[in-house]
Amino acid sequence: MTEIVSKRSDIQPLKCLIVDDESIAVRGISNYIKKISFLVQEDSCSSAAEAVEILKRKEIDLMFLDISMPHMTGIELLETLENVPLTIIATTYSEFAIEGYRLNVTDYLLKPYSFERFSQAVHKAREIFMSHIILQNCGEDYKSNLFIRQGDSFKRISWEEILYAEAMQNYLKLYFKGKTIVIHQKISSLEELLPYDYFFRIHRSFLVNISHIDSLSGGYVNINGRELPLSKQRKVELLKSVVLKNLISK
Amino acid sequence: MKNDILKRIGYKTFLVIFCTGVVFLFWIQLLNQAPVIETIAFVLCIFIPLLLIAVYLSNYILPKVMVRLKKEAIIVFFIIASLLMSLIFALTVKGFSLLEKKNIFEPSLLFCFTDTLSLELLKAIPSVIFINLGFCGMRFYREHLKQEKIKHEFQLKFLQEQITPHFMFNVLNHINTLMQEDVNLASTLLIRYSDILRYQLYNGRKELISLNQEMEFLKNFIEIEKVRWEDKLVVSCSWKIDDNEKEIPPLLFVNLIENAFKHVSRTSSEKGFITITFEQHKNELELMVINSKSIIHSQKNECSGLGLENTAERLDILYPGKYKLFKEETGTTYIVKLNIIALT
Repeated sequence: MTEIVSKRSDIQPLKCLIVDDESIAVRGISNYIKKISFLVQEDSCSSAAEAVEILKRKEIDLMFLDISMPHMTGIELLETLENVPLTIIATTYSEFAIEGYRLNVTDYLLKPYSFERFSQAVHKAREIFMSHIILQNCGEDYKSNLFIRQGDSFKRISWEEILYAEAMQNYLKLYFKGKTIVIHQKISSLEELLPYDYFFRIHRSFLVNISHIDSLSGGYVNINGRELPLSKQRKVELLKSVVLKNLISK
Repeated sequence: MKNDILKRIGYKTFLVIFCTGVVFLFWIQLLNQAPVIETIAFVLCIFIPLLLIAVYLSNYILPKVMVRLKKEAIIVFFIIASLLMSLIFALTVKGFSLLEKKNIFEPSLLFCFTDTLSLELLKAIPSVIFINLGFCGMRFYREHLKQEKIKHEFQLKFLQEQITPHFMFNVLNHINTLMQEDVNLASTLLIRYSDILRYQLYNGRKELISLNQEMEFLKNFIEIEKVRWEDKLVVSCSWKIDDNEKEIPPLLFVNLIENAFKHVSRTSSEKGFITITFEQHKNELELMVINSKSIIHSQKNECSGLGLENTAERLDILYPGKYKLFKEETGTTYIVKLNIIALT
C-alpha cells in the first residue's frame, strides 16, 4: 500500500487567526482555543484590513471571523481574499448563514455559543484539514481503490461516482450525485490521482468526469444541471482528445 | 365600519353621491311650489357654487392647515367661505325673485315674500354653516383616522427598532466569556444589561418618562459600550440637568448615541473618542454627540444616516417645529446635535 499524497503529521496543530473588532470576543475564542489540543493561536486582529496583512505574512490554517466590523465586513473579506484559509464565522447575525455557505465557510457560530458547539465546529474544520484522497495501489487493479481520509477514518469512494471537482484555493469540493465532500487537497494533486482518460481539467478550478458530461455548449460544460465554465485553451483539446476519440471508439 | 364603507367606494365617489342626494332632496321639497324648469335652475344655481366651495374648503384647505397645525387659520377660512356662500345664496334668491317679477319665470310660491338682501343673507348663514361643518367634519374625521394610523405604524416600527439585537447578543457573548475570566465584571455587565432590558421592556412603552430614568438608562448603555471597546475608545460625558423630574418621551436619544459607537474609529492602531454633552434648562434641551471618524476612507457609504432619519421622523411627531437636528461631518469627526426648544 503506497500513499501518493504526502501524509501530514497528526501532531502538528492548526494555526488559528481570530478576527473580531471586540477584544472580549477575541479573548473568548482565545480561551476556547487553549482548551483544544489540536489548535494553536497564531495571531488576532480587530479589522478585516489587518487580517489581509496577517494572511500575507503568516501561514494560517483556520480563521475565526466576525461579520460586523468597521470599514470592511467579514463577508467582504472572504470575497476579496485570494487564498482563504478554513474559516469559521462567529457572529451575532443569523441572516448571513446563506452567504457563508456560498463562500464555503466551514461552520457558522452564533454568539454566544457554548464550548461544545465551538468544539464541534473546530473538529469539523480539522476533519476537512486532515482529509485528502489516498490511492491504494493494488497492482493489476489499477487506480480503482480510492479512499478519503477523514480524521482517523478512511472512507472508500469509487472515482466513477465523482461528477466533478471544484477548487477552492487549498481545498476542493468533490461533487457526487446528492452529496458533496470538502477535502484539503489541491486540484492538481487530485488530477494526478484520478485516471487520466476519464478526468479532464476544463478550467483552472474545475476537473470533470467525462462520462458524466450531459452537454457541451458554447463556453460551458453541463453536468448534473450545473453549468461549468470551459476555458478557451482547453476547449479545442477537450473536443479533440475526448469527445472525438470517444465517438470513434464507439 | 364607517371607515370600511369609505374605503370601499372611495372618498370622492362618496362625496359625489352625498352631494347629489342633498341636491335631489332639496329639489323635491320645491317641486309643488314652482314650475319644474324653474326649480331645477334655482337648485343648480344655488348648490353648484355652494358645494364646490364646501368641497374645496374641506378637501384642499383643511388638510393643508391640519398638517401645519394653525388652528386660527382654519377658522378664518371657514368664516370667509361661509360668508361667500351665504352671499351667493342670497343673491341667487334675490335674482330669481327679480326674474319672476319681470315675468321671465311665472310668479310662484317660492318667493312670495320679498325680503331685503341683508335679511336673505342672515337667513342663509345658519344653513351654510351647517353645510360647511358637515363637510369639514367628515374630512377632519378622515384626516384624523389617517394620522392615527401613521402614528400607530410608527410606534410599532419604533418599538421594533429599539437597540438592535446585535448589541444584545454581543453583550451576552461578552458575559459568557467574562464568566470564565472575570466573574465580577461579568456580574456588573449582566446587572447593567438587565437594567437596560427592563427599561426597554417596561418604560419604553410608556408615553412619557422622567429625565432621571432616561439618563440612568443612557449611562448604563454607555458603560456597557465602554466595556465592549475597552482601551480602543476614550469616552467622555457631561450631564447638566436642572430638573430631574422633567418628562420626556422614552428612548429618544439612544439611537444617536448608539450610532456614534457604531461608527467611531476603533481599531487597535487608531484609537477613537466619543464626547457626549447633555444639557437641560427649563424647557430647553441639548444633546451633542461627537465621535472620531476613521481616516481610512470607507469604500461604501455607511448607512449612518438611517438611525438619524428614524429619530427625525419620531421628533416630527413628538415636537413638530420645536426641534433642530443637525449633523456635521469633518475630516476626522462626526457631530450630531439635537435641540428641543419646548419640552412640555
